[in-house]
Amino acid sequence: MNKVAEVRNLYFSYSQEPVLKDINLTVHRGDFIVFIGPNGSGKSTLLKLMIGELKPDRGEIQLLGKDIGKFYEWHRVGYMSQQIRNFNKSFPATVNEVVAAALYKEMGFFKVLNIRLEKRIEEVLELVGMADFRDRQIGKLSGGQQQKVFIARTLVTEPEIIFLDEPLVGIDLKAQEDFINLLNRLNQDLNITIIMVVHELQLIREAQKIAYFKGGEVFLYNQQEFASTGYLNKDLLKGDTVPEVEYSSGGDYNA
Amino acid sequence: MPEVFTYAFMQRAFLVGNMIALIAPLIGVFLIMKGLSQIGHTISHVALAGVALGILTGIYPVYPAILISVLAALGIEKIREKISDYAELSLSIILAAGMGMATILISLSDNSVGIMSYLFGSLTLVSDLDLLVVVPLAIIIIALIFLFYYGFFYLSFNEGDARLAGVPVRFLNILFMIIISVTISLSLRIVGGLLIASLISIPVATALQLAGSFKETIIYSILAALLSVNSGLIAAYYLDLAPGGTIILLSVLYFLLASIVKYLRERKGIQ
Repeated sequence: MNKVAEVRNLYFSYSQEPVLKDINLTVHRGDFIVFIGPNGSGKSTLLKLMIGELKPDRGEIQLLGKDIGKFYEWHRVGYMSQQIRNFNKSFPATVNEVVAAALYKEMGFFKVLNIRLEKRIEEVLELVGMADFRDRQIGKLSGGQQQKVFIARTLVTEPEIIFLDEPLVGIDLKAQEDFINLLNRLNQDLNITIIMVVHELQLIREAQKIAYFKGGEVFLYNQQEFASTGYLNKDLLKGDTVPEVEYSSGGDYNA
Repeated sequence: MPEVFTYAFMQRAFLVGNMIALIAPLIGVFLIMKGLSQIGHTISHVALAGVALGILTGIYPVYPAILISVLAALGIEKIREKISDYAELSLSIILAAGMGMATILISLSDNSVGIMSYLFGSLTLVSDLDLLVVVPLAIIIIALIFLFYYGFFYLSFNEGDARLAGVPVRFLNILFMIIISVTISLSLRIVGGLLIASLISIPVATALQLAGSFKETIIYSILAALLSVNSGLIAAYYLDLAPGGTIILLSVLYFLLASIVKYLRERKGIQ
């Protein structure tokens, strides 16, 4: 199994306040990992560090075999931020236009669409079940539909690894279910590696590996180990329970 | 041919006016969608200082207007990058500084007619040199927008996500600020420095009432600007008024009409 992302001895602090201490994490191709833990425990921070949006104080991050500072093949990586749906709802863009924008690097001399790219957009909208909405304005869709459009935009560049930061927040239960099924298909059928910050139990149950964040450290479990801790029955948001299976700070987490 | 089209000065005014009507709303769409419409006001006031400097020193005023407004725009972009929390305040300060400088330079100059034409626009003073400067620069601006169309689109929609998609955010932001400055400087002669920001924003507001996509917003805003400029120039000629005023008032009228159309459409349930 080849590594697609690796974090080694990583430290990060927000203005002198340590958030992550000596973190190690290895992600293999095809992994489905969720980051869980109390608010402020550094889940989103680690995600942002792994896509180069934040710079670590110390330590190393590799993405698809390259040091993050020297990584430029962003079309191979997808990212959906927590704020993705905080856009101006009056923005007059259609679903087609929003997805098209992600293909910027693949457009020719003039940064406009061609037939080949139009076809790609059609296929990806088909995949997420939004093909009938391509000419609709994105601001006028429901939260769940918008989320599907943004996952389509993330997928249109055919990434090998996708990072999602709380993708289910603010969407209804049916849409959440659809979204989880879609993620499973992406992971199992297309072998896309998924790394995701979540709070929802049903998403934690879908993951192969669970990274639990607490006190600046990360504890990594596989699904069976995690379920055996009985952790799933406790209140995740309180985050006052540290699973006892494996202490992993400073070590390697190839669970 | 109607009398208004027979005079050479009116032909020049129409040609320059129509070029401006193409580029002002084109950049306006991106500017407004980025939530930066205040920048248009700020740069137009700074450009007036350049015009006053040109008139005072005897240099063709559009050149110093372009130079000073580009410098101010790059300064604004720097501020926007560094201290986004107070970006609006810094815009107000730069606007005030530009207007203050323009006022002093105007009071030093004895050519008040020349200055007035750049404040409110003028039909009769559009020169062959204006044509030679405006037409090629407008064509370059249109080409640049289409060259980086989806880059500018993504920047307007979400700058952070655009960076991850490989859009050269910093380069395009700087290029865009230069394009805004040049557009405003070119527009001073016809619409005037006090009103150009309105020609950048009102046709876009009109288009937003009717458009179903970003592309349609661009097309409708250009159509609204073309209509405003041409009807405004004709009205200015026959009523002997400053064209800046007639163009902007008519653009407001078209905005109201578009709003009524939108209201009626929504009442009928047609979207």
